[in-house]
Amino acid sequence: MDDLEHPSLEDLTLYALEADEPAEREALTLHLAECRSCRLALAGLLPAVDALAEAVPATPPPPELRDRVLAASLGEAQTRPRPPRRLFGFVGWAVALVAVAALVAVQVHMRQRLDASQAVLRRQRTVVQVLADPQSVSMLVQNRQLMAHAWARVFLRGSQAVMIMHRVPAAPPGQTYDIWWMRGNTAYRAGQWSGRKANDMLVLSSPWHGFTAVGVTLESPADSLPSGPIVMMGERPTAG
Amino acid sequence: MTDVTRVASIQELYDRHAAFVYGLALSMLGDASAAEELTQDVFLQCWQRWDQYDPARGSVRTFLATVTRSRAIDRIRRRGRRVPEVAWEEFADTGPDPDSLEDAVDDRLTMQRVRAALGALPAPQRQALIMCYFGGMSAREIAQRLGDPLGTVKTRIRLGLMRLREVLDSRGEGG
Repeated sequence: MDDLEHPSLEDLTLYALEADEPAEREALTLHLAECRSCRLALAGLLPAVDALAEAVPATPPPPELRDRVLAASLGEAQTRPRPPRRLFGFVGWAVALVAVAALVAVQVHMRQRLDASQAVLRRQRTVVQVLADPQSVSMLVQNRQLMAHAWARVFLRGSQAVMIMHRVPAAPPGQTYDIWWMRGNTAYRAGQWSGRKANDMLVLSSPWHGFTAVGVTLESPADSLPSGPIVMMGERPTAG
Repeated sequence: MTDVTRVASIQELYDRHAAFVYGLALSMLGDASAAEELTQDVFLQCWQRWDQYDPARGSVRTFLATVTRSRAIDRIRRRGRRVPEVAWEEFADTGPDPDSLEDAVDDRLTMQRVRAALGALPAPQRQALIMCYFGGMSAREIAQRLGDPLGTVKTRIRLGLMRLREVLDSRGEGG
C-alpha cells in the first residue's frame, strides 16, 4: 500500500481484529500514521471488536484462584501445589540430566524466538490502541535537509506514546537512534531504536510532562544525555 | 498505597470481573487449567500496569478483555491453533454471584445483546468472526482451515463485523 492509497474497509477490519498478515499490518500502520480519516474509521470498528468478548458467558473460576491472585499481588510465593517427585537411580539421573540439558537448550532458543515475536505483537497492540484513539495527539518529526524522504510521527495518548518511523536510513554501524523528550537544554530519553529497518514502530516511555519537542539523535554508545547530532526534530503542537 | 488498600483494591477488581475474564479465557483456550493460569496473569498484569488504564477511554471490562485476548492469543500461537468452541446458540445459565444485582443484570443484558447480534449473522460470517476473535486466527489461516478462498473469508469477516456494529448501534448502549 503506498502513501496515497487508502486501505479498504476489509483491510481495516482485519487490522482491528489482528487477523491480517505481518507485512499487511506494517504497511497499514504506516498509512494510519499519516491518515486521520483511516484512524477514525478504525476507531469506529473497535467497539464492535470489543463487544465480541461479551458473547461468552461469565464462568466463575475455582475459588482457590482468588487466594493465589491476592497472594501473588502482594509478591508472595505462589502456592500452586506441585506434583510429587519420585526418586530414581544414578543412571536414571545421568540420563535425565543430559536430556534436561538438551531440552533446556532447545527451550531457551525457542523461548527467545517466542519472546521476540510476542514482544512485537504487544508493541503492535499498543500502537493500534494509540493510533485508533481520536483523542491522540500527533506530531511530525523529520529533517528535510538531512533525510529528505524520511519522517517519523509520534502519537501521544495520555501516558502512552508511540513512534512510527518511515524510510529512516539505517543507523551507521555501532550507532543507534535515541529519541528524547526535550525542552530547551533539558532532555529525557524517550526510547532507543536500532535503526535496522527503514519502517518500524516503537513504544516510547511515558512523555515528560514539560517537553516541548521530540528530538532524535545518533548515539554511540547510548548515553544518559544526548551527545550525538540531532538528526530529526518535531515540535509539540500547542493546545487548542 | 499500603498493602491493605492494595489488597482491597485488587479484591474488588477480581470479585467484580474474574468470572468475565475466566469465561473469555476458557472460551479461547478450551482448557480449565490454562484458563486459570491466564486469569491469574491478566489480573496481575493489569494490577502492575494499572497506571496505563484511563477510565475516560473505555471501561475496565474492555481493558480486561483486551489484555485477556492478547495474552490468550500469545498462548494459542505458542501451542498451536485450535478451532474455538463457542457454543453461542445455547449457553448454560451459570452466571457468577455478583455483589450487585444491578451489575449482574447489566452484564447479562450486554451478553444477550451481543449473542443475539452474533446469532442473527449468517452462519459463515459468524464462524469466521468466532475463529478470528476467539481462535486468534488470521484470515489466511481460516481460509486454509475451511478450504475457502481467502477473499471470501475476508469478506465474511468484514460483513460480520459491520452487521454486528449495526445491530449494536441500533440497540444503543443501554440495550
